[in-house]
Amino acid sequence: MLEVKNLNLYYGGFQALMDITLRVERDQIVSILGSNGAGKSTLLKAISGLLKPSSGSIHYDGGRIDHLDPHEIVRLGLALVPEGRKIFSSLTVLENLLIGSYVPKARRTKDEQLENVFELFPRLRERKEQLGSTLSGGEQQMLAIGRALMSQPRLIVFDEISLGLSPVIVQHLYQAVDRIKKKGMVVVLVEQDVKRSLKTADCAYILQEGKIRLKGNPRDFTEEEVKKAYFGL
Amino acid sequence: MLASLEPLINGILLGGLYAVIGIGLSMIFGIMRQVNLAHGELMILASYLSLVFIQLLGLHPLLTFLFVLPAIFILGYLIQTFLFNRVLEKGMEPYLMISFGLSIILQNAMLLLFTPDARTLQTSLAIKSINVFNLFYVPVIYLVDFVGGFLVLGLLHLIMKKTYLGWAIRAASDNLTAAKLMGINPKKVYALAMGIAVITAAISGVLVGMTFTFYPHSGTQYLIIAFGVVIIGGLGSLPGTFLGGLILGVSQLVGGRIIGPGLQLLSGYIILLIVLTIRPQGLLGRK
Amino acid sequence: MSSNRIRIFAIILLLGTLATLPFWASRYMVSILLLICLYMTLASMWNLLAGYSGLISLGQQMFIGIGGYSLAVLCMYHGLPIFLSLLLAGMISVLLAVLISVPIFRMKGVYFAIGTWIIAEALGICFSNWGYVRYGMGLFIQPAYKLSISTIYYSALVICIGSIALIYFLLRSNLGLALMAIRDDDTASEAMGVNIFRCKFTCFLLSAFITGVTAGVLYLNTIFIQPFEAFGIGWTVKLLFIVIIGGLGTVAGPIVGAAIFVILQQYLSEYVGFNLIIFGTITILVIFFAPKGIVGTFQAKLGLEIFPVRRG
Repeated sequence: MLEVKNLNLYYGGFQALMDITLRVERDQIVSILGSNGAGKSTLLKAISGLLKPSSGSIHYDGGRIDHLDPHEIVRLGLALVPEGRKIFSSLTVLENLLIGSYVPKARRTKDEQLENVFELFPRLRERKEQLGSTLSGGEQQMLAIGRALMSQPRLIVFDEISLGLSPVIVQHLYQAVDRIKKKGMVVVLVEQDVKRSLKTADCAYILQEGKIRLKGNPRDFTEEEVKKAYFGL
Repeated sequence: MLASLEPLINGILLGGLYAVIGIGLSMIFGIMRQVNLAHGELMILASYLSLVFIQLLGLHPLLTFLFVLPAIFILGYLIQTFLFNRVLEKGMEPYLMISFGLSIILQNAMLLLFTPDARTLQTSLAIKSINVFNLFYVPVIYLVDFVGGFLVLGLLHLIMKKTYLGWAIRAASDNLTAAKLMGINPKKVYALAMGIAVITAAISGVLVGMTFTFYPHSGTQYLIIAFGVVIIGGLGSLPGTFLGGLILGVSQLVGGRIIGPGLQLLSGYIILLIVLTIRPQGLLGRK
Repeated sequence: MSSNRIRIFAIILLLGTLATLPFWASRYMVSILLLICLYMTLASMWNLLAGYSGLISLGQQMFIGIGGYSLAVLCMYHGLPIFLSLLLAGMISVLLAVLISVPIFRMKGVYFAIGTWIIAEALGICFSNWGYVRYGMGLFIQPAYKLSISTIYYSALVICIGSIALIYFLLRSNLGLALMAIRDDDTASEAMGVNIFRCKFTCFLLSAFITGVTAGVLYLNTIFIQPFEAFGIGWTVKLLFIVIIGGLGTVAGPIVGAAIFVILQQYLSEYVGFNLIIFGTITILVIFFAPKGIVGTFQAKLGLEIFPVRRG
């Protein structure tokens, strides 16, 4: 469903991504792992259209998307939950969610989707008239996820959702991710937290210094292999 | 003694008009972090357009809204699309210079087309006054201005709070990257926001034309008023802009009464400088 | 022959030509060059603030007005010799700069720009309501009648060369290094002990002084001063045009820009009204296609600086 072929990307004068090739099939949870600066966020920005690659291609649902603008990619059904959450601080929780349904096809079903999101994250319903900036870190993450869901995506990418959050909340979030997957969406997870991603993912890619070092079914990885790929030892 | 309420009351009423003058500038600064120096000229352009329609079709000035508003909206949309969107995300200077160039072009085009003579949008509303308890007079047109101001700001508030366009504009202003990820096309949203901003300028232009005389160079003084409203009332706050308008209107008329009519603008400027010095983000501003 | 020597030779040649101009050129040409020198100086001062100190001022005309009026009042009402009046006009401009510096330096960025503009407008209103300077009717500067165009030309030339030299050496000094560090990175330079306020303040005062003196010469040339014109935003329009066309943040930019501006103004003076439209259009086109200005684009393409200010 999502395919990246031989992607190269230069960013700020140096090469951030080198010959990246990966596939995401339907009914999969794919994990992209790597330490800080490995290139995970850059890869996601390329996929979502925020950055343009220097060479190579990105395909979604059979069509090329690497030349498209971010807002066009969202319309095709590919949503990104960005790192750092990036919620709209002067909008209320409800308004944040509603703007998530901005794309035309999502507007028709917005009430239904809203209900789904509130069911997934009851905390958001409680706080729906509050300003986005008044939420805690965990609640903001829930809001960011809910907002992405409102656009009726078929593929949803999560960029480091566990960052800076307590284990209890992270647990809750991953339960939500699981439920999202069960509803039929394709999930791509980008994480630093290796253990958790390896438990949930069907397929994993480990990046290091812009290159893919290890890929495949995480249950087949040995600890030795993972360490080597992650840290480049 | 109570007669001295006249400048106060009239100042408040005029303040409503001032708020509309300022809201367009405030929107653009709040949403795109840019200062449109051609704002005053776009206002006065609307005044002249209204004049044209009055002379062509013999309409009442208020009815010219039907023609002037769409025309100015299209102009604003085109300006944003072809001029300003080209320097998107390149900092403040290019936008400032382009808007400056635009204001010169518009001002001199109007000078050529309409001559430097004083003009006004004739209406009986400007001549009639209301006699308040036999103490002082309130020109009816001032009331119209105030109500107009209130309506415009109220309508804007509704748009910002209840429509997809409003949420999109506010979202783009909060975090442009995240807004793009919501499917919002920044160029289109900015063009629409600019269109709305110039519509408010057009409305204030027609109202100003009915209330005062205007010249091709009047844009400058109204630009400063717009700045004044934004500075006093603060950015990103509709009630703040309304309040800013009121304060500026009152300080102009009351100050003018105290230090003399020739120095009326001066009293407004002094208040502005004071606010700029102690609290540049304005009374109710957020950044 | 090293590039430095070529430069010095070219400059000496140029200066020689300019210094002897009144002897061999027509009166018209002298008056044109006179204007070019004056606009060059004014634009260089604006450039010092905007291009090097990061202070975009929309109110430089306040010093033009104050300088012009000081000169007029001093030499006409008080009978002071003209050159002394010019100097004093500069000092009074500095005084104004000091007076407004406390509030104005609290304003940042666009607020600073607006603040300077409002002050200029306010001064314009004050002067047009002041009987001493004959309200809005303006003043005819009598003592200027007896000055020859050569005298005015040489004054303009001296001021122009002096201020360009001043800027050049200032930028090569420690102050200049500090300014460029501030321009590149505000916070980092502060961390290294650069007193940002003092640098900007010095430049502000300097530009006020020279602008005031230059305005004095300008009004000696035009002989008539009137408040709305002297304190009007039109000055900023012209300076902005000159600096943008020439190149913001370069030393040679205002020089090239001023020459183009004055010559263009002469050509377009027949088409009243149209000329400013063309100015506005050119400004916009330059922003689109050559945002660094003529000199800026030229220097970037060739990788050299006409007036090199980077040391080493």
